[in-house]
Amino acid sequence: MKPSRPATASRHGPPRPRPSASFVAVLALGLAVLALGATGLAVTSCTADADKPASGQRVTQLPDPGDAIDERLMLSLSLAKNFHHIAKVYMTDGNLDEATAAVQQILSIDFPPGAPEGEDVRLDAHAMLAKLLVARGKLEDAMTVVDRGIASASRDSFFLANLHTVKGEVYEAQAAVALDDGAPDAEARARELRHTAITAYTRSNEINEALQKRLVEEPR
Amino acid sequence: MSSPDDPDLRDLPEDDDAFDPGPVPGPDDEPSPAERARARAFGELLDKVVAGRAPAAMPAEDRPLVEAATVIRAATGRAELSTARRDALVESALARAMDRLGGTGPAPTGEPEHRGGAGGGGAPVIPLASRAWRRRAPWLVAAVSTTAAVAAALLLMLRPARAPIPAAPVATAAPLPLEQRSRPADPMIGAISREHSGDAAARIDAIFADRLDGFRAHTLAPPSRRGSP
Repeated sequence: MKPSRPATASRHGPPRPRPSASFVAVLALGLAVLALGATGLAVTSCTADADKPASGQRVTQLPDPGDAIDERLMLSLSLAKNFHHIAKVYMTDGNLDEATAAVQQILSIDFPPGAPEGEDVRLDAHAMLAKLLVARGKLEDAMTVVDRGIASASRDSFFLANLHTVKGEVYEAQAAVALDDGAPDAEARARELRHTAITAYTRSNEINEALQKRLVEEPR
Repeated sequence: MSSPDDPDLRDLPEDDDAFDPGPVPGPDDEPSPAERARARAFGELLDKVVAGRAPAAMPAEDRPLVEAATVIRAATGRAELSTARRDALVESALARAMDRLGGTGPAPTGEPEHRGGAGGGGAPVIPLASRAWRRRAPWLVAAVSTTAAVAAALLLMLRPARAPIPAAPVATAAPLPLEQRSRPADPMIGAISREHSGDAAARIDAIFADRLDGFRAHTLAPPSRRGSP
């Protein structure tokens, strides 16, 4: 009986081991998973960009109502309203000092930045404060308050026009004081102050007319 | 008989046949009477085997020679099966094929049982084609998967550049009504006459009341009616 040839013997060099069935099955499964992943990636990349806006902004995003009336504005207006009524009560009582202090409190109210109502209320408070200072005989302080208020205005408004009117009143008060001063040039100085007052009143009228015209032309 | 000095017979053994003692004759030597007798007896034995009348017993040294002669005769095509034997083999093959397709018919008479079933206790027959598919299936799955992966990669690389889609406009509800927005108080107050220059309290009351209405409308109304700026 011939001796059997070893299974690994080969006439062309060392034999190549044949892959087992389990190895082939695992290899096939791995390739299948790889193929599924690649296919999914391709499909996703081909379809995901289609529905996405370029800027990434959400379609359902609502704009921020930045100029809506909010609690902060209402609180500021409420404070201003109460300070005005406090000043009115003190004026009724003849207590102009407390009335002045109450109106000064309005100038320190922290209105929302850029709120038009804040500028209007402050200009009106400057006018009221100047009137109180005039009533108290503090004409220089009144003019300072008026000038500060006019300088703070960012736009023309009826409140700015009113402040120019108050400025004219301050000039008239200064002219009256100049007449009572008894100085040699009192008459000339009083006349000059009254003309300056006319300039302030004229400026107030210009603002009022321009605003009235703009309001009539603007659609409501 | 050849001489031992003959160069053709120099390498031959002196005695290579246990049943024919003596020196090995040369190729050109005349056969001996004993050789002739043995050749004649072997020829008669072959004739009996070919005729189907093989003797029940034969010398041991003749058996491999008879088998070799039978194979040589069959290889030359001179051996033919008898009609009965041939028909039996054909019927056996047909019956085996029919049993594999759908039935368990009786095995042909005289043929061994090759199939599994109630009669045979062997393992069930597995078609060769099924075995081949089972062996090739993993490779087929691997090939299809690789093809799909390559196709997906090519699709990913070769797809045309998509033009950027312009940003969708932001959905805007109805604009925020004017009364709900912070705005100058000029239209409501109007020009301030000199007589009313000091009525700041009345003006702030009017402004507060108006803005309070707008604030309530903005904060208390349902979202669908609030609008947007």
